[in-house]
Amino acid sequence: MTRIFNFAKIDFLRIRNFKWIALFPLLVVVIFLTQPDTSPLYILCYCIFAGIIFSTLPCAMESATEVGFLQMLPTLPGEQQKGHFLFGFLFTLLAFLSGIVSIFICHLLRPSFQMFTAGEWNLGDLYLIILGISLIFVGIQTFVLSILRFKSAQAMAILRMIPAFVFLFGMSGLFGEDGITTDGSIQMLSRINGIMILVICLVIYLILAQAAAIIVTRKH
Amino acid sequence: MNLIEVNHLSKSYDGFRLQDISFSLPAGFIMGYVGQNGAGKTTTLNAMMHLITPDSGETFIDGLTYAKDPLRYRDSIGYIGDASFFPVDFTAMDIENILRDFYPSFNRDTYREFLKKWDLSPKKKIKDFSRGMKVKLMFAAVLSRDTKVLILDEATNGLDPMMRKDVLDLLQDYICDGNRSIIFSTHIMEDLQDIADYIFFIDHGEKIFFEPKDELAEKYLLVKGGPEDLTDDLRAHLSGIDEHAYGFTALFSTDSDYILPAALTTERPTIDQIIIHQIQERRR
Repeated sequence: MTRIFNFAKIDFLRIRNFKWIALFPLLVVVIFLTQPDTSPLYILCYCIFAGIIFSTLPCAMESATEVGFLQMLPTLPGEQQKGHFLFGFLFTLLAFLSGIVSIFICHLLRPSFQMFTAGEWNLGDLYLIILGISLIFVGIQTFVLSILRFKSAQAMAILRMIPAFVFLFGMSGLFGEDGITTDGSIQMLSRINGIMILVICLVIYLILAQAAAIIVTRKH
Repeated sequence: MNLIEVNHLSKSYDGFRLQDISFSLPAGFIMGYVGQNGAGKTTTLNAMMHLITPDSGETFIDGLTYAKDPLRYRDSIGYIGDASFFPVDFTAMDIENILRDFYPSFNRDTYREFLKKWDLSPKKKIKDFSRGMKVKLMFAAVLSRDTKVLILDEATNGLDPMMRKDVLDLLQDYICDGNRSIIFSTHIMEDLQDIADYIFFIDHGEKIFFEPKDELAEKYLLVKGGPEDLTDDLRAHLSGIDEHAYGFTALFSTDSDYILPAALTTERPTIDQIIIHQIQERRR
């Protein structure tokens, strides 16, 4: 487990040069403060959108020679992939937390902006469901990038954008224009316990991580 | 006991086959691994490191195999390639952190001493290092660990003479306790002439010879003569004949009973000359 953490640490070192990502939630806050009657769900989704894109950046940044260096480390095959998944999880969690903090800041600056309720809806559960769904997106993306090597950096960049946009537009479709539709699919989701959905998504995420590690080990 | 044992290592790719490579190297020695570009040197070393999985064969490092204990196996080997394999956006300090996390035997003080000795800035990005600095950093990373075997793959290419001398001195220091060994793949035969104890010559994925360097030098004479000296009789007793307008050079086996004509000049060949003439002989 320590080695998996160490690989995740390498991934964090890799994205250190992209410190400006931290400004993204701030930008989201500024944009949303200029637009009254915006649902906090959108703030969260925009922050996670950026999180999904950057969660696989370390995977994409590995060059062929660097892969050699990482392969030479005294670790078991598959541990590096698990490290990528751990990084993806932690980064998505950070994006989620930055979204929550952004919502809180919006609430502070505009007290009418509710953090956890929207009419009859408990947004807390929906936040957890959004986190769970985003983990599925990150998991699938990390899985694909772990087992496939793309020679083209452009193809890799496009591939990394697709899940984030599908997530963002998919969520927008679920929420509707005013944040929550009364008859949208999100209504059904919100009746289910948010924690339960999150746990199910986490289990799927772990299965994807294990599957990627097994495939890479077999390839090795 | 042999520190390194490579048994029947084979690996096939499209258009290339590494065939049944075997050798063993006792502790305290340096083996030069030589051959032309594409001969299979890097494939052998990668298979030994298990960076690629060999089709067959096994490598023992101090009695360990990768299959039985991959962590200790990898920990016991230090590898330096011809290009820096560190992430280019990392600094020497980042590399220190990674090495400290992954290698139990990594010694931070030794690493920092090397950085200081070689003027490597700990905070400068590796992409801003010169080629020589990158090689120095790879050496610092490897020599700061308690490895048993050092594998160098064209590591001295492109280094200035002073740096090369430093590296060769380091290699001799590395093996001086008699417990460690080095496999040194290089095109620069001069380096091997100075430090190698054994020479392994590979061509087209096939082992041509594996000999102690001193015995190898004793096995041949380099023969030189004019065009008129190269009779059919003499030709039959020479190998790797290199003919040119002014005459020829060739290898002559010292085991042969043939008496060389007095008109020829002979000298002790360098490793470089033996290899070149062997390649020529194989091309005939």
